Amino acid sequence: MNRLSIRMKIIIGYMLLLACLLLSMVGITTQIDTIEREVRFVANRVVGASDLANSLETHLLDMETGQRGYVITGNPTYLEPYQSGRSSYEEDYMKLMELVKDSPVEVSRLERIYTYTTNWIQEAGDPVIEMKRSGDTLEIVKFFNDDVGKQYMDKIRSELSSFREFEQELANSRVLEMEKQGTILKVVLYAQFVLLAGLAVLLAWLISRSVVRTLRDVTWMIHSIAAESGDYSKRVVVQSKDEISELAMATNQLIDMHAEDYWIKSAASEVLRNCQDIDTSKELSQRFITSLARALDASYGILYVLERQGGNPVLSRFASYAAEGGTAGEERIALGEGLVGQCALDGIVMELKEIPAEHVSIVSSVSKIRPRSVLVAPIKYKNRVIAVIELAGLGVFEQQHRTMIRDVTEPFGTMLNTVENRMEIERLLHESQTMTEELQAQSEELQMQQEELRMTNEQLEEQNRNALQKTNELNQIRIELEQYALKLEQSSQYKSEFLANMSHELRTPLNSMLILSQMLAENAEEHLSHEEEEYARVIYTAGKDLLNLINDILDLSKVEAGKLDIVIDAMNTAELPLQMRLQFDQVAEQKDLEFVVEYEDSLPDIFYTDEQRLHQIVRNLLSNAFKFTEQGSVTMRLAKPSEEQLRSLSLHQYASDEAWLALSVQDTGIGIAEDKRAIIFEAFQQADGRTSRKYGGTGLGLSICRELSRLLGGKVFVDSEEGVGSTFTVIIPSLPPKGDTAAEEDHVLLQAAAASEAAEIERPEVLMRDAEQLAMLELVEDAGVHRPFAGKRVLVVDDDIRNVFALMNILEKEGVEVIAAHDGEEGLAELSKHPDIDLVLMDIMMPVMDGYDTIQEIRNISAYSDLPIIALTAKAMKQDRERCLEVGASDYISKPINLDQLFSLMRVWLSK
Amino acid sequence: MELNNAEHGYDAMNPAEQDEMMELEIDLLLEGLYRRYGYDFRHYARSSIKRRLIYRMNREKVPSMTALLERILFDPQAAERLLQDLSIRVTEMFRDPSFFLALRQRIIPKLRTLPEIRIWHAGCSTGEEPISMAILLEEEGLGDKVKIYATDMNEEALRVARKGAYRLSSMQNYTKNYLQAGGTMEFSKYYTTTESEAIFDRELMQRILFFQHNLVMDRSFNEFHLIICRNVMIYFDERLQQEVLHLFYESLSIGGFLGLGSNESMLYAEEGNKYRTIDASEKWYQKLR
Repeated sequence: MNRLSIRMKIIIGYMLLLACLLLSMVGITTQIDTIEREVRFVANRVVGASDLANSLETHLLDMETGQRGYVITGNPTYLEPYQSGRSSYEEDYMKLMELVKDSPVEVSRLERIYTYTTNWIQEAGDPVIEMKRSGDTLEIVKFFNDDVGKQYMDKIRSELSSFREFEQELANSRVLEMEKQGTILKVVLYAQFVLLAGLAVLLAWLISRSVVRTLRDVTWMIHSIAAESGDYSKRVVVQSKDEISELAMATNQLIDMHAEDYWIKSAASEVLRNCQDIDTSKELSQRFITSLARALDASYGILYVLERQGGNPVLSRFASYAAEGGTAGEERIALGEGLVGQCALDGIVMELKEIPAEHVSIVSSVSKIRPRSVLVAPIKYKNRVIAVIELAGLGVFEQQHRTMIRDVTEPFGTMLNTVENRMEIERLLHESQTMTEELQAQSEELQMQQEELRMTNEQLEEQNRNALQKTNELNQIRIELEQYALKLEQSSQYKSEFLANMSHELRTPLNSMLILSQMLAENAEEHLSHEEEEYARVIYTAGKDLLNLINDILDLSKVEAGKLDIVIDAMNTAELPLQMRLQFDQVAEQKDLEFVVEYEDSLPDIFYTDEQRLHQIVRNLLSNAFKFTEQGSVTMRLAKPSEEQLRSLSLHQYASDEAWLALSVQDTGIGIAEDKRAIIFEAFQQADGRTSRKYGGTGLGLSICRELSRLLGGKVFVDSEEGVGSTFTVIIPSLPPKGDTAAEEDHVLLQAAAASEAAEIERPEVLMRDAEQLAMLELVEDAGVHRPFAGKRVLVVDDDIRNVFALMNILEKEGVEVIAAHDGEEGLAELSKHPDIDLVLMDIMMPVMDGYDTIQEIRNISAYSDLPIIALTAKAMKQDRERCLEVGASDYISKPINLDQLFSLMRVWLSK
Repeated sequence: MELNNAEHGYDAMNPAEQDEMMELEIDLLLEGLYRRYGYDFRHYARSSIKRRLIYRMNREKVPSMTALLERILFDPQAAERLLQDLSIRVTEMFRDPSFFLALRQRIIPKLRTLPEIRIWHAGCSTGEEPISMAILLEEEGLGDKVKIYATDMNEEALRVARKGAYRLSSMQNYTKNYLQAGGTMEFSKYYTTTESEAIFDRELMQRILFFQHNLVMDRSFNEFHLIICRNVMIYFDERLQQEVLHLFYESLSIGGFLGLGSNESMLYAEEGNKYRTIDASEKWYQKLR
């Protein structure tokens, strides 16, 4: 069945149906024939037989009638029906016999009838006729009396009637039979219809099934492909070899084609989708070649992009797929060089199927395989090759692969171009950003350099000004100094006098105190307790210290005032140690110290100096030494100083032939730290604040030593090591008298030197702190540093007289020249009168012309576009301030005016 | 820019060689500076660095970069001078007033609800900008809850900044800037003057913590709601800018704001897409995530 075509199937089906129909028709026809025969039989036999039986009766009747007519009439004419009846009878009998010959009952019945008839003829008919002819009427009457013929006739009639009855019966039975047959026929007809209908349905189902199933498969397939997510993997299963199978096959073919198309499209779109949203051409290329190679099942792929290098277009490898360690393929390929270069030149896809041995091989970790085919394809943008791809694979590139490559390279060209353009734009953007930044950096640098330059300029100017000012100042200072020296001399004199008087006044009562306390302490009459005695001693010691202090102060003040008289006289150098011993041996003993005196023999015996002052120096040094030494020794040494020492102390200007004396006092005491060595010679200074607490003393001793030795033309210096001891050395010259006048001069010289050095101790700045000095300086000074506003011209525009007055008062104290105006118009008028105004203070709420309008008016004058205008506003509202700025105020300050703030503002706005 | 010494080897070279040589020398010099003193200028914008170095070279009266390298290696004072040259200290109070106006109008309202506001001025130089910020916040009524961290790599600049004293002559310009930046008070209330300087209010200055921090080498030290770094990155190369922007990204809280200089941009930032631009012309950005 499956092998047959649909037409055949349908034909066979119909034929089958027709055959069945024919068959049933034949059956039915036969049946109908039988019935017809039966009908005919009934018609022929039954009707014929009845008719014949009737004619037989008629014939008999005719014969009887004829016989009788003849008999009665003797007319021979009556014999004729008799004769004809007899022959017709014979004839009909034969016919009837023939008709019913198949029914023995009828035959026998007919034979009986015949016999009876024959019997009638022989016994009744003929004899009677004969009798008549013979005229034997008696016999006739007799005969009719007996009437044998009638018997026969009755028998015949009854036989005939039964015959007819039989025939009727037969006919009836036959009709019944026929009716039965007709019923059967009907049933058969219906049965056949049902059967045929069933067969037709079956056939239709079978045939349609074989057609419809395949059709449905195909339809479903087409539907499923037409659906969005087309599934191309299924095929219509071909089960038959009919036209439907052809359709199925055609469909399959169509699907195959579509699948290919679909693969191309989906692979292409997949590749392109992979390439979306990528910002760099390198990455784009990599993504493209990777997904393309994967889609094509290629085992190797390289993408070259056409670049311009120094004007020459060159293909650069941008991306590769599975290329040997990423290095296979040339890094750069010139146009026309090799397949790739040629492809770039021609813009045509090229394919290699016979791969030469030296061509690239596909590398896996275990093998190197030569590819079977290589394909080189151009990537174009606007018909211009912009890149070339090279693919190699173990398989062969099919048509669909090529189509897919074609489909993919076109949009990729656009993509690549877009990305490159975008990169270019981005690069330009970066470049411009970098340039903007560079510009900004440069401008800042420039600004900085300008700033530096300005600073340097300013510094230079400042230095210049300073230098000038310094010169001025120096001049002034010189003048001041001269004046000051005078004043100083006076004041020093006053001071010294005061001190001298003071100390005298102090010393007198102190002396009485000392004497009395000493007397008390001696307790000669012994009426003081031991304790009271001790108190008195303390009073004595304290008083003594006080006296020493007063003496020291007096000495020092005298030195500083230059009032200490130096009396140069001859001194016996050898006496000095003796005198010192006399004074200090006892002290040394008390403190359990060794007192050593060394005396250099080469010293001159006679030395010219102020012996008393020298003694004072040495005493001071020795008492210091003993004070700060706890154990060990104190050594006094008298020697000649070396040349070196003299030079280093820059005393050589005095170095004459005269002798010098170096007198040093060395102790093994606490020593002096290096950083303290300089200050110990300052008045009231000891090396350490703690020292005085421990050792007592006023700190004036060394100061006095320094001053005295200077007066003696020498110097005192110290050499010390902390914890080991100190050595103080005094170096003084011998100043032999050169006659009276010379000595006098020397004396004056020394005094003056001492005085100027003393003055130098205090710096001019210190002096300036002094109110009096300041006042004096102010007279001399003309402008500036200390009064920044001096000489400035400020216009105050305000209608409030109190305000103007207050401002004027304050500003004029600062040396500012204040010009006042009471309203805007006046202010403008003043401004035009004094074009050199430095600053304007502008009230806002004024009659005639308010501050806003005035400021605006001023700004309208081009010469005043930069003039600082400070608005004075009594309102704290932000809008007012904004309004001020709108009209061109430089700054604002709110009333009531804070003076510091005003000065700050003025400083800012007056600074240039 | 002329090279100082004609007898030197530069003369024998053609300009391309000269450039190449100088590039090499600059590389070495920057490496030397980094290795010897720990200051890393290797990723600063090359052109600017080159100009500064040539300037210093001329000032030091040395014939070549290499000689300059030698000098700075052995003479820390010369190195210090070079460092001062390399750190550009151009700044103003309320510099680019519109930037501060945008800050006042568009950023501050969003910061108001915070319990504490931490602000980082990276590269504050001599401190004008942080002080401007302190003034602005004071006027916005946020003075009490704000902490301003002002950092710079240059100690010398910071020393000036801590003093909070500026030349009188600059104050006129600063007053103008202040007014244009939407100042609501009297600028003169914030300072007192001496003969040459205007000294800013101590209380104001106490809101600002000045300390040394090098954007190139140091890391994030807190989380901030506001970071301002203006005209610092213009001296950096692309990579360094990227790194610094990353540092800022890390240091900003979510929803925090970043303000850059008028000619700077987020172009180089990797995290650029994580910011929302609040004001493109004033360079205000907000970190979203």
